[in-house]
Amino acid sequence: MSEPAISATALTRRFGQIRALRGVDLRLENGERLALFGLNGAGKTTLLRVLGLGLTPDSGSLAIDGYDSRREARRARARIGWLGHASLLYGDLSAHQNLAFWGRLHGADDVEKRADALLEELGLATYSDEPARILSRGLAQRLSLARALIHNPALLLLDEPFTGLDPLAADSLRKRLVERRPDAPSMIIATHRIDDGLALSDRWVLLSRGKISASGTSEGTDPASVADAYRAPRKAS
Amino acid sequence: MNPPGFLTSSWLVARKDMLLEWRTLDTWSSSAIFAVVVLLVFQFAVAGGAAQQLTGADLVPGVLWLAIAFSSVVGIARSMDSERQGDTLSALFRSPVDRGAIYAGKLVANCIKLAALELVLVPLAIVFFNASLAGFAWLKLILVLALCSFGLCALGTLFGAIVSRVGRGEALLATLLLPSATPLLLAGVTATAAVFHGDELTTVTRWLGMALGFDLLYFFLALATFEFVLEE
Repeated sequence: MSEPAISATALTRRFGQIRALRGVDLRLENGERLALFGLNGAGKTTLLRVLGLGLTPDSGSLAIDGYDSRREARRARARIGWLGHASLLYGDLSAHQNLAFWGRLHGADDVEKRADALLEELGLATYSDEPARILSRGLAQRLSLARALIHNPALLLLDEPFTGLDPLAADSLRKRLVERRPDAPSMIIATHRIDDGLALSDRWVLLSRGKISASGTSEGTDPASVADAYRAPRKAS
Repeated sequence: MNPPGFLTSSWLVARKDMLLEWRTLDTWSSSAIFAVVVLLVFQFAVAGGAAQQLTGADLVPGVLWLAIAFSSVVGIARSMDSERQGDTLSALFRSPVDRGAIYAGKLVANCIKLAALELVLVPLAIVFFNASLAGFAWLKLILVLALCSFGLCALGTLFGAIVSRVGRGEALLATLLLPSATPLLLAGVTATAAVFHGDELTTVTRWLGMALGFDLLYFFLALATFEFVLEE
């Protein structure tokens, strides 16, 4: 049986006097998709940064795809792809050069072929040799998705991926994310757009003041009931 | 899929930085323009009669290291700008490579860029101030430049990353780098003066030893602390 994409127990993280995470337990099975909801300041981004191994938790344990985040940090990091508001791209490198650089840095196999395939698949083949800085926000976000997938990660973390996208670009990204493929990574999407989060996930959790206060399955869930859980997080099931 | 080792990661980061530079010549050109302006201003000051009794050999060492110090601030700040724009420094931190390798790669790239700048700056300084270098003196000068520039880049790369993380620019980098690099700059000026006056480097062994000591200190200090600088 394969290892879970995420196995996190009692994660805590403080910033000075602020307790951003107060004992988060989370398990994400291989191929599973989770929507992470919460008000501003609830701890969504902190949790994603901890799960993305960009931020060390003060306490608790975390394993990514079976690799312990402390003892096997490099292997664990190699299993993660990240897509957020920042492009994480070098504007003066071409689209292809960006993918090749990040792919090699993550130890990906057959980087050149994989970069070409991703550019083709995401409709960016014509921009392969163009510097990333000339791409529109929507195209740049697609290239960022390719960057996140170049090393075939086991876990994809998405932090408000639709921010700043026009409706067409958001729709295009949504279509790509909603596709279910056999080799698709497990995914956590942190978003304020409840309908998008539910459509893209199997399960949802609501984070409130650094703790998971509500959760449920996404299929058949009315977005309004999640919105209600925002208002009364401790009473929701 | 195996994450690359230390040397491969360093090489990948250095090559990426050089590729970025090659595509725009942004860092090099801004540093070079700044350095040439410094040389020109001093040349005009001297031609105006401020230092008629001084020879080129007296003037070049100080002016040259002043130009190198300030233009390295401009260059390192520019090169860190490219990491700040797309938040790529955070992405480098999250990548599965040794954080020391990221530092080493950026250091190699900064050293190459500074060497390319010095390649233009030294002949210009010699011409502007009517100095001369003969035979093996060139080799001695290259040794002095390499020894003192390495420490400058070692410290500059670390401070550049700190400044980039806190979202500040060249002013903070200059405030951190220049005072800390003063021992290297003094060693550079003294040893360069010895070269231009035709003295043997053995006359400045202490200064060169001090420069080597600071090179090693700054390099290992930066290598050990870079991880904490990158921590989000």
